[in-house]
Amino acid sequence: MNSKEDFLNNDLFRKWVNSNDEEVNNYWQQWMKDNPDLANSAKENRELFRAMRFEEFKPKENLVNSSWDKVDSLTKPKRRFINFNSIVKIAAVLAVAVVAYFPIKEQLTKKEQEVKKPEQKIVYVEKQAKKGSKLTLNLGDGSIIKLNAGSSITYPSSFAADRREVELKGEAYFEIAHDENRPFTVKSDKLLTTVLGTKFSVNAYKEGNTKIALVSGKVKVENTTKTDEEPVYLEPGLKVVLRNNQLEKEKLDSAYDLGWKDGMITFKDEDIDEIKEKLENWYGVDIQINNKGKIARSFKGIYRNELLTNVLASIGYAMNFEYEINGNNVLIVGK
Amino acid sequence: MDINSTGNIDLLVKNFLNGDRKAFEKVYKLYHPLLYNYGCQFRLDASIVDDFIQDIFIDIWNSRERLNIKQLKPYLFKCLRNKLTKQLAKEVKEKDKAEKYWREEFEISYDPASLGIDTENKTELEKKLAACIEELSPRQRELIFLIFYNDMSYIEAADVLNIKIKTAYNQIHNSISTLRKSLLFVYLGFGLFQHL
Repeated sequence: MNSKEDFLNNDLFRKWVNSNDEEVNNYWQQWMKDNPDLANSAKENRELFRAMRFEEFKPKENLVNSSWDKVDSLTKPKRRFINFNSIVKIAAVLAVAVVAYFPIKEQLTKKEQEVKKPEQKIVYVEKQAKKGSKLTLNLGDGSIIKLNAGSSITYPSSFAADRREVELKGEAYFEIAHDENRPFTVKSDKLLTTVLGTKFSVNAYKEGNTKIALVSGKVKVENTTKTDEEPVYLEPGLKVVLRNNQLEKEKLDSAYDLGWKDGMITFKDEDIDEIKEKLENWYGVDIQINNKGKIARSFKGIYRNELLTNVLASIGYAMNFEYEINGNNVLIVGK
Repeated sequence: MDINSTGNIDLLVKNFLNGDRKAFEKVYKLYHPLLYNYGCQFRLDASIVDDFIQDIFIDIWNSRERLNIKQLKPYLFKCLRNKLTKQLAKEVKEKDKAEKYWREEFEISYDPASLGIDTENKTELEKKLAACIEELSPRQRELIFLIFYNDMSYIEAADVLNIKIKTAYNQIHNSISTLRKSLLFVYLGFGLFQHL
């Protein structure tokens, strides 16, 4: 060694600085015994590095997830089993807005008990997109599900041979891999939506209000509480809405019904309570409203990848309120 | 995931580069915070750092069959560094006020307590310690950050900075002697460094 501090170049010195690994420590204890003239120098140099503090920048809670979502959607492989011609025939694009606040797992177990089949044990997986973030899931069959903020989905870890069933709470967009022998069913509150291969979005945030919108392809929608009623078959460009337990067909509005999956938060003539709920889910904040009486009755608008403060400023201008953001808490005051 | 279990990470990276999307997501979520912390040390807008991280991974994914990446971590750091230095140059040019745009890259602070020193006049001491650290060049500080705070070898860190390994060795040696010299004056009398 030509320089007296060549130990600095030793890879184990780096380990000694940045860890408390016992083996590494023992090595250096021995090393210092063997090199008594350098022992103090080594110890002090270690302390000089260990005592340094770099400012630590941690990504905010949801940043890593939302960042991944963007990368995920931009790199998603185009599915190979659909050629261009067959897209038109088999790929249905469906947006489903369903309201389903019911204990998903309980429902599933009940069903199993009723059937009393000696089936092999099914393991259910529940995935949740926390408030303020979305989550993209790849199912084993090639299907992709995008969960909107504050939503969860339950599905078996591997699908049965003759069917694919999932249960949804909240809102989700589905791109279902085509499989004629295994129809794909989304259960939500009162509705069953069945498709063979399709893309669709399910919204189940609010109780008693279900929407299923289809962009292309074909789906079947059934009301589980009215078994005598004919199922509704949906054509592209239409959606079906459950109101007062009645299924009604309506025209689809792609921005309002599907925009969320492309980063659009939309309000279609919604009152301040509905807006509050959406914002809380979307941005993962808690909102308190004061002076509600002074706030305008409803608001319509679309924002794409906008900051919360800009959205609040814009809505506040239209609806007559002021707001204050304090970390995860938002205060809205009618004026 | 245990960030120290190298075997697992190697396998994960291999799967990611082979096109496994689950591995992709794991690799992304594993390295994003590390890259973010590194990128933010350049004191540019943090949202740019996130954008760059996304771009880098999208590029890698799209050309993963052509790329021959031996070590993913230094490769990622290197890509981010290239983007950030370009951006930095651009912003300084745009502002045309390099002076105003001066920023403390890879700022380090010394907490007196962590050096085992206690004194009544804390602020004065901290100021003097800060002055010592400022004698290190940004590149020296960056090397320290990579090697001692991001567990990179000299070879990997040199690769990230695009310098020779020997230069990396020299920079670290110089850092230590600079620090010891300047700290000597600050700490003389405290009896901390008997050998200085």
